[in-house]
Amino acid sequence: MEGIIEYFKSMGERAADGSLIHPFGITIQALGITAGGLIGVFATLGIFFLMIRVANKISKKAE
Amino acid sequence: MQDVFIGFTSITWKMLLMYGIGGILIWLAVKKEYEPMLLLPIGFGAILVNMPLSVVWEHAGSTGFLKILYDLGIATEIFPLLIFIAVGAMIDFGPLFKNPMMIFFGAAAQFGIFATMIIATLVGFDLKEAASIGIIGAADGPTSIFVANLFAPNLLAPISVAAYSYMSLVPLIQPPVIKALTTSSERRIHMAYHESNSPKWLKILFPILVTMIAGFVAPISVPLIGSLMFGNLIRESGVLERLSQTAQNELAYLVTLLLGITIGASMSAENFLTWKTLLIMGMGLVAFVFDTAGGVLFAKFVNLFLPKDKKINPMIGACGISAFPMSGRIVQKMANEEERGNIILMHAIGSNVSGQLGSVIAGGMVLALVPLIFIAVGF
Repeated sequence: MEGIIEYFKSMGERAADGSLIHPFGITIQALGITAGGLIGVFATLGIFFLMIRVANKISKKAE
Repeated sequence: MQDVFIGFTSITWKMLLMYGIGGILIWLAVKKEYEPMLLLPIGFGAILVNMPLSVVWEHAGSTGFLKILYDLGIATEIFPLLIFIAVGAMIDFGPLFKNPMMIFFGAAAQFGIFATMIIATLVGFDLKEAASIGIIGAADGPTSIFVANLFAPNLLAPISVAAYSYMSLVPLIQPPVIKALTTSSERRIHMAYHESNSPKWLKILFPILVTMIAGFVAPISVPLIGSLMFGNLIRESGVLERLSQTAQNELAYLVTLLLGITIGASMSAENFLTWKTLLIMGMGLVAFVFDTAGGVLFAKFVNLFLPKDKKINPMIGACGISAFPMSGRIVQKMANEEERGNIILMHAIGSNVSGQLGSVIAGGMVLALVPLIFIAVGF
């Protein structure tokens, strides 16, 4: 985790004139958000999927 | 004497251009019936705020009525949340409960949000602005307004206009993308539908559990998902029929009316007529195209692992976009055009309501992750 944070910190480093030291720094941060965001959306909806499947099974058994 | 004619002498070319833009939005609403409930008030709001002296916004130290509405409803984010209560009361998750697999298309079709965010950083927007522009791909006006208001209030007007305009243009945007990515035989795939009723306790528990899980995963998304699910709980409880009807009708219409004119009022010429607006409009289209492509390609990927008789019509993936129920209807129309009598509507609607969930969760993810990145890089 520390390594990841250090990596992102280095991506956000700016020179004295305010320009980014790594020109694609913000884009790489956006890639990080993309990876985290897509995993998060799939995982969260995956939990909802399991919830519905379990509920459907319980209801079928009850019938 | 000059004061008498101040209304005429203070007109600028930018104001005239904004009247034209307002007029186009009203024309699209009236003539083409593209999201008329929103585009008409937005168009008229754009004209109102660009009238000489801008009395409806702020003049001679006094606050105009549209700025009061803006401060009350948009700056506090109350309007989008009230709209979500209404939308929640309109959603029937029944088709999703019958085929829960559809929920994953609601995730895949959020791809446009993230792809657009990356593109926005490449064309020079900072991370918060890029995230707000990407959220146009949620195909969900309230989520776009909510995120843009937090991250890039200066871009709220073009982002809202792009979100609502492209939502109304879904019937024109999606079919060519779907056709480009699928073969005719794929579009003719039939999907069996089994009629069964979901238990009532599931319909009641679902909005409560969704709120709790989303709240644990991304606490910052609770206002969005909580409002949506509150509306849905009112609907499904079965004991609040009048409240449900009020949310679906009176509340929805009233807040939509106020939201539209207030968004229009944020389109002052100085804020709106910039190169950024043009870029945002272009990237909004990119977001919708990538959303559609993400959903369709994910369905094709899933088909690789399914037996021949259980294949999914990949057009269903495109319905994972949150434009409900327009997207589902378009896909059904395309399926019927490809082969008369091919009914995939219920699957399409299941995927479409998943898109509603997916877009709000994706909005919550962006709201949670962008500040985390900022903390990590020490801004």
